[in-house]
Amino acid sequence: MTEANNVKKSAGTSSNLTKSQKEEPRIGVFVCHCGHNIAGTVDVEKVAQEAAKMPNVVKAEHYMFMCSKQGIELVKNSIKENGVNRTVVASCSKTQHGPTFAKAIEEEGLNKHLHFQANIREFCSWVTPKSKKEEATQKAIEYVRAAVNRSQKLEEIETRKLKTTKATLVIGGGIAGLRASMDIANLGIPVYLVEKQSSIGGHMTQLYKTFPTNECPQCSISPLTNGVANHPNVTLWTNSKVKSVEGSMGNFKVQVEHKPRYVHDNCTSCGECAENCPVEIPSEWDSGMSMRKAIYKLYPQAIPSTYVRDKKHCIECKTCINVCPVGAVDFSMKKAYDTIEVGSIVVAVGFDEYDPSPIEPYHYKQPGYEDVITQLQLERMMNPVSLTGSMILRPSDGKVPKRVVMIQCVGSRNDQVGYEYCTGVCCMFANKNAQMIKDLSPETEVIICYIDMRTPGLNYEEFYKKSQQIGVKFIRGRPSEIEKDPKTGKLHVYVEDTLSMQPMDLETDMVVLSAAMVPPKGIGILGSALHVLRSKEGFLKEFHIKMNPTQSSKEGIYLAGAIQGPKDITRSVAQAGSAAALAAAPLVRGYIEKEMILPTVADNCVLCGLCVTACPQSALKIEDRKVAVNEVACKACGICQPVCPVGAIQVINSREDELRDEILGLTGGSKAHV
Amino acid sequence: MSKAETNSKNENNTRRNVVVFMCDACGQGAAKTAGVARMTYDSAIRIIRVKCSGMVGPIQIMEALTNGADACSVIGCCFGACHFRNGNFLSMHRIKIMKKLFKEMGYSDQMINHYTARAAEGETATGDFEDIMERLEAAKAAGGTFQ
Repeated sequence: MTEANNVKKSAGTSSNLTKSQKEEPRIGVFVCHCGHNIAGTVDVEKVAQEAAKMPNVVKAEHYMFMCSKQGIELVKNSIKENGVNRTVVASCSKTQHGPTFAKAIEEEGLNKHLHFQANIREFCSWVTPKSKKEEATQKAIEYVRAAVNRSQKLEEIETRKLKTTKATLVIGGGIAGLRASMDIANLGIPVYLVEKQSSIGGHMTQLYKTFPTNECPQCSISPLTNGVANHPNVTLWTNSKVKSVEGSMGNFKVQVEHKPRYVHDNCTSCGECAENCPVEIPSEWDSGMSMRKAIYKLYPQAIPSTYVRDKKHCIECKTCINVCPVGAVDFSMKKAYDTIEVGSIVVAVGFDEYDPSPIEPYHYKQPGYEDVITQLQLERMMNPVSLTGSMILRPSDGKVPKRVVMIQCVGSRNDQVGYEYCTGVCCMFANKNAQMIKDLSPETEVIICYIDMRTPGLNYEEFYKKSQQIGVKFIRGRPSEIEKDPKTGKLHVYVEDTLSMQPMDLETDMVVLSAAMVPPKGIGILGSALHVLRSKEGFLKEFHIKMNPTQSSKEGIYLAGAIQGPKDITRSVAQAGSAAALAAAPLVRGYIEKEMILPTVADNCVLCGLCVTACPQSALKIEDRKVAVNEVACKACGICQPVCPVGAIQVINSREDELRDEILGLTGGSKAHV
Repeated sequence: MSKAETNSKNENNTRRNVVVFMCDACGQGAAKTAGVARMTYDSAIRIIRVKCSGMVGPIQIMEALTNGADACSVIGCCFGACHFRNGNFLSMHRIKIMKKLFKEMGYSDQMINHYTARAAEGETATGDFEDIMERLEAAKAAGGTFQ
């Protein structure tokens, strides 16, 4: 008992001990049978016997299940009774039960970093045939010896509480970004909302109706856009983009670039400037379905409602400056930069609609094929503020089409052109738009050519049934080509009905392509600025597809909405809420815990600066003729260690001599314990 | 793998020892996945867990080779997927330079290799191990190894 007290005492006070730990290592080795998982292939008794002979090992035992309550008790008792101050458990991987034993020894007053896990299950017993028991046993002994060697010099590592900056950056002002901003701001955390466009709202405001309730999206989103724009905790930056991101979870430093708007905030959005502007160009917002001026507002309800000048198309006649009643127009505005500090980041930059022009047989955007449009263009055409005034009209001649053919899976579910994945929402929005066409011009016939009708979820299949009931026709088959008859000017869609096995030639007035949702343009630049990984399609990759679909590959950066993968509004909003909760958690708590595994710099450092350039986290800096380590940014990757020409920079518990001990344990080298 | 195994048995029946440094992220993940899927590979493979493949320097590789290992490899994440940005690239270039050096000194450059693995695919790890053993046997046959 006295011994145990000593151990506890020394563990409590030894935080300031240097590398040469004052107390002699007393190592306890525990070999797990893991039922038959290990014991079936490895002679665990022999491993324990061999382990007992290893240097500084005071206790070597084997037990059926080390992770069971009794097994953990065994570890704890060895600390109490045998004065063990380092533990080696030979069982499964470090990620699986390493934390279990680390917690156990922590309860006995030892630092959790004094535990070392030897993986003899995944790396030994499971990958060696049962017939080779001898070899497997030898291999397990070597793994244990390496672990014992490595644990000789293990040091205590302190877990420090790091303060977090109480602010969040939300990139993207679409529905997901707005929802996340609102949820975070309501928790009392300052939010910086950065939006690339001149107004917030995103793709949702471009839609005419939303499925499955055929509700007006503008009506559902405007409380949110208004609420976010007027929230006291939200700083709204439109026409801006994120230039660079430094730091790590809890403390990010972000540089934001503001493009000049050329209109000051005192704009009353009276519209005088746009009325008098002589330049007229097709609106990108309306996918070319309406015209805008060189000084414009994206759409009537846009928030912020300040006008913006398009410098590229402006002829600088300065009419707008003259007519503005409040003198808000100012051509001398310049690019501005802001550097902000935030604790977490939510990325909600959404998606782009796939451009179907690479699919040659569909002739999208080719001369003579103006009547081949995408679903988003159709949405804008149906919008009340479009040129057609919410009428379904053929773009080529302005006549009401007698028949509209919709083609599904354009750019998705395609191995040759476009992407392999299923966007998952095209079936639903095609159904919705078909219903809307039937609603706006009931005499128009609508045919949907599909591969599979995918309508999973509550109320979705019913929605599909509804389209069938109101007379939308469905043909199962992917059209091979769209061709224009030069005589009649009508389009012909060639498709094989795979249910009746019949080739069909559909004569139609208009074709609507259900284009896929693809990663937005410029996501590569943003991804590398954020240092997050992307999936092979280009979306930002989630941490774990099932267990953590909201976190990105980097801690402190969370994903919301379609940037993680194609999603409908419902799921985007749900994920945005999850991202908001995750992003707010460390900021509400006020601190994050970080294990202080850091490099130490010895006096023989020659200040060559190689480690500074090698550090991927930019955590090293030369200050006052010394290499200074940024304790927050350092991730203990150890990349600085081999680049040092004199071996001055060494990461705690992974020093070169410690790695050497482990290597010698595995190879059975002559000087096993140095 | 089986080929390499039989070779080693037929020729001189000595036990091989191969040290493989695997990074904490994809490398360890792939090896674990291989284990969970009960894929068997040569029992000569000894895995050392390092935080990042960029942490393994020439010193570690030479220490392994001079202290009884027949071959030494470093396995990191796929290119572009390093959890610390570029550790796998550094490691790959390091091994390339070491290979050149080995060749110039008259040793076989097949003893040291760099690979990438994917955490979700155990066969990437076992494939790498097979390749290591094949290359090692080739190096042994050519007589370019240390032992």
